[in-house]
Amino acid sequence: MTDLTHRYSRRPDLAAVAMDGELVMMGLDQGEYFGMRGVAASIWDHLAEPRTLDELCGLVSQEYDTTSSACRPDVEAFVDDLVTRQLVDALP
Amino acid sequence: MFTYRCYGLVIRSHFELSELGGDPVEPSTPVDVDIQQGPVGARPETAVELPWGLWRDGEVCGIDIPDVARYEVSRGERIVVDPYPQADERDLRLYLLGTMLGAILMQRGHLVLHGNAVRIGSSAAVVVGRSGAGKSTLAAEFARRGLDLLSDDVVPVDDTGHALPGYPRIKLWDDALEALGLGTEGYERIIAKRAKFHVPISRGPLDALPLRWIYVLETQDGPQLELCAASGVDAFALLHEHTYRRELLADRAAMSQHLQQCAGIAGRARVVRVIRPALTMTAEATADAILADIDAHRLSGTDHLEEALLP
Repeated sequence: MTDLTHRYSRRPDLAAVAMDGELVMMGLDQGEYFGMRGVAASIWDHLAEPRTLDELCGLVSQEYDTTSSACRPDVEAFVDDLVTRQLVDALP
Repeated sequence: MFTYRCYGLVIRSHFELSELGGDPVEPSTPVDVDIQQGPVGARPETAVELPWGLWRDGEVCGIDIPDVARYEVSRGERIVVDPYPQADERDLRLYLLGTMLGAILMQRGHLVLHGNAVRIGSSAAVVVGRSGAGKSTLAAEFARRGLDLLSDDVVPVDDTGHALPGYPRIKLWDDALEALGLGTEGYERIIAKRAKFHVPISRGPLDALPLRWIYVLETQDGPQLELCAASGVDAFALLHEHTYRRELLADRAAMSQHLQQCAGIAGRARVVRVIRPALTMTAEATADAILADIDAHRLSGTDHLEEALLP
């Protein structure tokens, strides 16, 4: 589960490429790839360096004309998903 | 020993592979790929086990086809075939020219698409689709209209985005042959037990050509034939789905390379879904739609000058 003090960072060993403004990346499992568009691709970009959930929500709210609290449930769910799929590490 | 030239490679083979055509190759030409008969052991313990009897162990992969042969492919330069007793020669060649040659091309760093390629001016268009989608029937229709076929079934694309010419044969089912007015008389069966035939296609030698258009054959229930351009994640998913023997992308290095290759090709070529009405589609209508799309997008892309010089 995500929490407020953890920092999250994408795994350095997964190759990703930009295609027409969208992002395609390989997963950990054989033959597994993921595509990300829009806000998902943007969050992935921000995860190039370790970020807390608060920081991510702040960045997303600036880019997508919303508030940090309004986007929090979606950002949290997405980051949870990335952690579950082992695309992102939760740093202690 | 027999020597052939195919996909830009000089192939020396213990087995006669008449499908590859008879272009003479100078005896002094250096050999790129050696096909031998010899013992092939069971799948190594360190290998990743893949579907359909395939396995991969780093730069070596293989397949075990019961009653036909065990095959092993190494470093893009050697295929060893170990036939089972009483194996049918045509079955033996089918896997050799299909999966094994596909693995060689993959090991040599090409993105291998499952489809066929035709020459359009000084560029290439590729048609991909699932088994049974009508790729080869469409290839035959293109050939009937006088277009040069680069290859049928397996299209390697190199790291500069060029499609490599294969061998001038189409694999057609008996009903497709009848529909094209050819009949099955005089053509060689591909597999001993099935009514699919090799149909030789005449064409001169071709160079590798820049791949500019990729058409994906699909079907729908409605009555319309529609073309839908794909981009981004969608274009990647289509190229990935139609990569030949993509099960062999079994390790991180291969997956990463594949990702870069698909992105590179999608950046240079127009990727289009061809959604055909399942009940009423014909090869003629599909060919018409694809050729019209090619015509409408000849000048898009990066090499305006080259295309503008075409007749």
